[in-house]
Amino acid sequence: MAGMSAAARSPLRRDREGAVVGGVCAGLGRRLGIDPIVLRLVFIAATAAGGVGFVAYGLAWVLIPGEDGTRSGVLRVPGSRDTWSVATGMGLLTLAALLLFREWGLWIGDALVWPAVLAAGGGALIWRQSAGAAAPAPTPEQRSERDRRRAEGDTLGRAALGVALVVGAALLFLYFNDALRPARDILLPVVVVLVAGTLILAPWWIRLVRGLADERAERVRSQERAELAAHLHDSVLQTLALMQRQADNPREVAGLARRQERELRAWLNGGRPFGDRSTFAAALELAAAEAEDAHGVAVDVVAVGDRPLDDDAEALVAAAREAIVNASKFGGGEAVSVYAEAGEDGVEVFVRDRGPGFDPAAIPADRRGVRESIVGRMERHGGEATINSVPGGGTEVELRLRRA
Amino acid sequence: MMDRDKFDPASLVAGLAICALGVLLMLDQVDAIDLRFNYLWPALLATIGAILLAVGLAGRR
Repeated sequence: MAGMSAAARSPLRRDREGAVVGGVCAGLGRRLGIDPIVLRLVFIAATAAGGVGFVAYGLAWVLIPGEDGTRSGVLRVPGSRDTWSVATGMGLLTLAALLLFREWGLWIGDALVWPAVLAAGGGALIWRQSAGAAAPAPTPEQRSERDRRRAEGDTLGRAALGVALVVGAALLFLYFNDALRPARDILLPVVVVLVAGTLILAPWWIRLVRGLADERAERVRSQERAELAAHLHDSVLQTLALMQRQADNPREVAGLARRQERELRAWLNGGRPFGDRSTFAAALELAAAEAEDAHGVAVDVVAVGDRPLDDDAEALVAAAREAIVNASKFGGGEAVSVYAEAGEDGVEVFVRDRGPGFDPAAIPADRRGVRESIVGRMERHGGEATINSVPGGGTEVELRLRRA
Repeated sequence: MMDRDKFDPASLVAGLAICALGVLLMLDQVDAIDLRFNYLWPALLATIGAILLAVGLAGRR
């Protein structure tokens, strides 16, 4: 009983999981506590006895909401748009009125009215499609790619349906007026020959298309292999040969390996080629690489975000390069880490080493490296440089550039 | 979930249309009117058309 009362309280919904056609019987069965098969038999019997079951099922499908409370799936079949419901509703009402007029004798003949109705429907679809095409297209931000493709498909489908209706109306009109009889004698053999030819040639055609697609895929694969081989030859193999020659110089070997690593990473990530100075991050990485090559100290660069390399950014890179060179020279040979972040507000660069450190206030006045090349340069471009260092605790140079 | 308290004009039109159809069929059964097949189909089409129109117009708001 508890199950019954629970079932009785639950609202009537179509059951999509247990559905055979529209889920009407499954939903009714669940609501009434009856096996859906019994209800299906009742509907089939009612359909056989005069078609009432068919109509009742159709109405129930239309009117009973789905499990999520949404309107019937039948109503949403044309494209889940209310426009289609309105258009279909108006079409059915017009059809009903026409049938009544025909019954009452207010009729000018099947040969004229039905082709006219079809042509009007098709024409309306085509006009609506062209009106939709004339409307301003939404921006890419307003629509995802999938939505855009779906809309294009819908538009094409509407246009095709419209054309089919108009052509059908024209053919129907010609048929009713006996104008197709001479054409039929010519068209029928042509259609038969075309169908027979299609049936015979289709397997070859499909095989040909597949063969062409396979061949194209193989060609693309082969080109990729050749490109990979060429790149490996130009870069990695050359570097390995150089490393063999420099085997007695570990520092040189390490430098070669790091340079090759940078280049290979840039290539694998599919980004800009190494050595390109078009953006701030690229220029910073290049400056770090040059300092590393010059001084033989590893420089690890992490860059988040990017910006175009304008004069200010160029100055920031130059200041960072000077800081990296200082860290390489005086950092005790430990790796130098560089962290750069380019955002909406501006750009920040941190250059850090784990060297012996120094007292920034004790820098002699004639040492222009820090004062001019780093602090002065940043100030001239509207930025600032801060040097945090304590003897024995490493050094961190902080460079900031606010966005103008 | 659909709100039970919310007025749904589509449901009202659908209910009225089906009631009208039911009244027609009942009158036919009690021989008050003679509903022939030629009239039944337009009536059915008009019922479904009215429901679809009401649903579409209600959804546009």
